[in-house]
This record gives sequence, structure tokens and C-alpha cells, in this order.
Amino acid sequence: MSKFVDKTLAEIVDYIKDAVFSEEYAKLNAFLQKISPKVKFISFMVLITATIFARNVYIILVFFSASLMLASLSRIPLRFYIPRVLIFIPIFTGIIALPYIFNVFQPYEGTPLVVLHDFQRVIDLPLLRPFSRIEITSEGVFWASTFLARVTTAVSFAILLMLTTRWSDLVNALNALRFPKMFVLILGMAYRYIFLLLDMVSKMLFSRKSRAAGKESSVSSWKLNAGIVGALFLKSYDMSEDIYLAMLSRGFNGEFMHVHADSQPRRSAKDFMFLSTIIIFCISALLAEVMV
Amino acid sequence: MTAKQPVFELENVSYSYPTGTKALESVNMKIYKGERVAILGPNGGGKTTLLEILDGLIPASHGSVKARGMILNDATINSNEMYGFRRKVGFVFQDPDIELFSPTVYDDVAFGPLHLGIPEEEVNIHVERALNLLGIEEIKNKHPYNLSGGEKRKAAIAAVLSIDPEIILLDEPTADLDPSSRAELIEIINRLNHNGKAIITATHDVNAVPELADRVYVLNKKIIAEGTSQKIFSDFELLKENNLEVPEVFKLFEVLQCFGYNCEDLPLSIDEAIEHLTRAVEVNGGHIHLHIHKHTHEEIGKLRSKYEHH
Ligand SMILES: Nc1ncnc2c1ncn2[C@@H]1O[C@H](COP(=O)(O)OP(=O)(O)OP(=O)(O)O)[C@@H](O)[C@H]1O
Ligand SMILES: [Mg+2]
Repeated sequence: MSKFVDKTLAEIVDYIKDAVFSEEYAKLNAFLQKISPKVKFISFMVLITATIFARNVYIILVFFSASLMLASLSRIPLRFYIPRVLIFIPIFTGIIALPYIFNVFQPYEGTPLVVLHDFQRVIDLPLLRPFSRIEITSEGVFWASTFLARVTTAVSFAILLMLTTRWSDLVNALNALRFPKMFVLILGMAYRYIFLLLDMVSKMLFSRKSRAAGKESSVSSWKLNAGIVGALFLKSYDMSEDIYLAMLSRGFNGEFMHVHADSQPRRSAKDFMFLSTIIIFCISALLAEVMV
Repeated sequence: MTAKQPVFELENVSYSYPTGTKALESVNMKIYKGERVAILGPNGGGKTTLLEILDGLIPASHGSVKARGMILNDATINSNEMYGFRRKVGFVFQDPDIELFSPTVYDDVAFGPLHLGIPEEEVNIHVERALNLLGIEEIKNKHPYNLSGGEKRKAAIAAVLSIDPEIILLDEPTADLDPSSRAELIEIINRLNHNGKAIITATHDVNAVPELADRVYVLNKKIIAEGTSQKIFSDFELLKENNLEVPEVFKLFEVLQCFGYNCEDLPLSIDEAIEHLTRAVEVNGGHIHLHIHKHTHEEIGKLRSKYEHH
């Protein structure tokens, strides 16, 4: 068991890392790679928004197929792409969707699947529906699975955007689109340091594995994992202090400024074709949903 | 040198961290314009803390810090006066991952000029010049995460050089570098000094000290000693007490001495060694003479035990 956990943790770290860091696919001269970053960013935002608004599972599936198609057009092997999409799903969905399978958190009455606890009287909590029993409802389960499909699709678009665009181009696109500078700074820093910290985790896991040689119980393994998390917090705290000093030393006084490294690649007719196709696709998909 | 006015003047400077750790105790030092100074000390000796005080990032707990005629204390380091100071003093942090916090190398090199009030249309010139000085133009669009150790170190230095400071504080610049990057870096630093910049290097790399500094402060919470490299490295006991030692070249010439090589001041770096040998050969009519005499084995034995660290 502990071996399994170690292996998966290390794998997750690696998967996430090359999902967003590998410039291997961003450098290819394929379909999405040739679209200008700014237009690509807008197009993917449109796709993600449309996915979030879609309510019908089949329509969501259509969106998902579109992401697979775009990936193959951009010469990203599906066996590289899909695992990386899947690895992000639990992170997003688990946390957000789980409560909704319970009747307490649902906006409407549901058909109970499993009754977890019967209070025999009505409980009325602020912000929640009045309830007398806690049960898992079929509507809740249906809602959660639609949600899962939706998140999977949205994540698959986000990853496709990152895989096909170099980070510096993406940052320039955000700046060119007049995103608040502080937002871009924080995003950039998060992106910059998360992987350093993840590296630290995988190094600690690795060094532990080389010492323990697979002979530890799963309890002590989890204790060590807790230790690693603790060390991680300390390290990130220390680093943030030092980074602040480094910024201060080079003149930072709370206001962040940015220039573009390179001239943006010129937008061509192809870019507009792409953007309009995406918009038309999204509108028709959402219209189809209303009519079905 | 003494005719020049000091750029840094520290009197009885102490510093304690909020955790209670005393990092510096009554430090006195004077650093002059255009000088090459090393701050040599063991791990935890307070080198980084001292550089942070010199750069006006943290205020001294006690004592007075004067930098370029300005008093650095709690009030002044947070004032607008610091802008002028920050344009003249650059600090390259020990860990390049701290120094390089931006999404690309270009952004990092542009950060200083942009935030120190250099007009936006001139920023690019500053950035390209700094990149060129370190020969790293081709990595400017890379994310720092994807750089090698040597590239990171150079990018970090470029990030500070882009503001064209007249004083450069370097924290452990030779750490984690392979031999060729290390030699390259030392050359770059010395070239900067040639162009009139004061270089203050904090390090525990004794082999780098003779190549990077003319004057050395030994720091272990207090200033243990001050003087030329020659003077500092001739006091073996003092170095040993502070977890330091002498450069490898120096050791080699001590070995040569056991074989009858005759000299007073032992060389500390390869350059000095070449000079030394050339002179010795000239004086001795075209060759040097080494031989095993009756004390050779005894002296070698003494030398061995001297450098054994346990
Ligand atoms: N942020 C901090 N909070 C508390 N104590 C600190 C902090 N930074 C450093 N110290 C302590 O202050 C002392 C001096 O640290 P400093 O980093 O200045 O030493 P150093 O000479 O740079 O060491 P190294 O060679 O390891 O870089 C050490 O005992 C260290 O543990
Ligand atoms: Mg240090």
C-alpha cells in the first residue's frame, strides 16, 4: 500500500510537471501551435465558458470530443494527453462536487438513494435547505456526474492551451489583454514556485525510498508524509520572505510593472478563422442543448 | 586606497533575528570605492545577514550603517531616498531560484530597470546589454525552472547588472557551478571590477577568495580578522578555528617546500603560482631544484596531520 502511495505521488508530480512545463509540444509546428497566443487564449476561454454553461451530458461530450480532435490536430499523442487531463480531475472535482450528492447541500428536493442519518425532526441551518434526514439522492449523484464531465472537459481545454503555448507567450498574452498586473504577477509566481516545491517533495520521497527500502509500515509512511508536508510549508514560508527581499532589492515597492519580451507574432486571417469557428461551434452547441 | 571615501562604513553593528538567533555581533568594517572585498566565513557565520544589512533590506539591531553617505536605519530603508541607493547597489542572492521569480529570464532582467524608474523605451537596451555581458541572449525567453545551475547563476547576475550598479554584493556566487562555469563567472566578476565596480563577495569557498578579492574579512558572527588574502591565509590556526582552510594551491606549495622549494610568500591561486614559479626559475638560472632531504618525510607527515579535519 505504502509503495503504491509513493509511486502514485511521484507519478502525479511528474505528470503535472510535464503537463504544464514541457515545451516539447509547444515547439511543434502543428495546428494550435500556429495560432497567436492572444487569440488562442480567448478561444479557449470561450470554449471553457461554454463547457461550464452546458447542462446536457451529451453536449458536454461533444465539447470533450472537440478537445481530443484539437489535440490530435496539434500532434499531441492522446496517450500523453488523456492521462494528464485525468490527473487534474480529482483535484478540482472531488472538492467541489462531493457535497452536492447530499440532500443538505442541494438546492432542490431529491430522491433518496441512501439514508445516512435520520434526525426525526427538521434541522434548519443557515444557508442550507431545512432537512430532517441526511441522504444521498439520485439527483445529487446525477448532478455530480454531470459536473464531473464538465470539469473533465474544461480541464482538458486548459491543459491543451498550456501544452501548445509557451509560458512566456501566455504571460505576454495576458498582459496584452490588459489583465490586472498584480494578477499576472501572482499567477506567474505561483506557476514559478509550485514546481520548485513539487520537486522538493519528489526529492524527499525519493531520498526516503532509498533509505527505507520498502520496509516501512503504511502508518509510519503516512507520518513521514505529514513530515514532508510540514517541511514544505516551512520551506515555502522561508522562500516567500527571501523572494520579497530580492524584489525589494531591485526596486519593488508594491506596484508591479511589465514589458513584453518579444513582439507578439502577427495575427493572421487564420487566427480570426479559428476564433470565429470556435465561437460558432460553442453557440450552436448551446443552442442545440436548448432545443433538445 | 585610503584616500578614497568609503562606500560602506559599519560601526558596532549587531543583528538578532526575531527568533533570538544572534547573527552578527559588533561588526566594524569599511569598504572603499571600486574595491574587491571578500567576506569569508563558515556556514551560519552571518554572511547573508551582513549583505542584507549592506543592501538596506534589514536594519541593524544595534550600531550604525553608513552607505554612500546615507545612514541606513529603520526609517531610511523604507523611505523614497532608497531609490537612488538601489540604482547604485545590486545584490545577487545566494539562491538563484529566489532571485529569478519571474516567468522568463527576460522579465527578471527587466524587473530592476522597470521598477527603478528607467523609462520603458530604454529598458530593452539595459536588458540586452546585461544579457550580452553574460552571454545568455539565447535563453532570454526560457522559464527559469528549465535552466541549468550555471545558466540560473548567470541569469541572476544579469538581473542585477541590468540596473548598472556601482557596487555589487554577491552571495556565494561560485556555489553549485561546474569548473568551467566557475572559471567563466570569476572572469566576468573581475571584468566588472575592472570597469570600476566595487565587488563584495560573501563565500566559504576559500579557493575562490584569492581570485575574487584583494582584501578579506573573516566573519563568524564577529569580525575575526581583516587583511590581504596573503595575510589571512598565513594564519592557519585562525582559519581552522572557524571551519575554514587554505586554498589548494597554497597547500601544494607547502608540499613543494618540504621538497626544498625555497620561498617566503606562498601563492594562493594558479595565476600567482605561475608568477611565482617564473620568478623562482629566473632567479635560479633557468631551473628549480627539488630534492628529498633528511627532513622531507617528517615535514610531509606534519603537513598531513595539519590538514586532517578530525
Ligand atoms: N530568517 C531567519 N530567521 C531566523 N534565523 C535566521 C534567519 N536567517 C538566518 N538565520 C540564522 O542566523 C545565522 C546567520 O545566518 P546567515 O544566513 O547570515 O549565515 P551565512 O553565513 O550566510 O551561512 P551560509 O554559508 O549557510 O549561507 C544562522 O545561525 C542562521 O540560522
Ligand atoms: Mg548565506
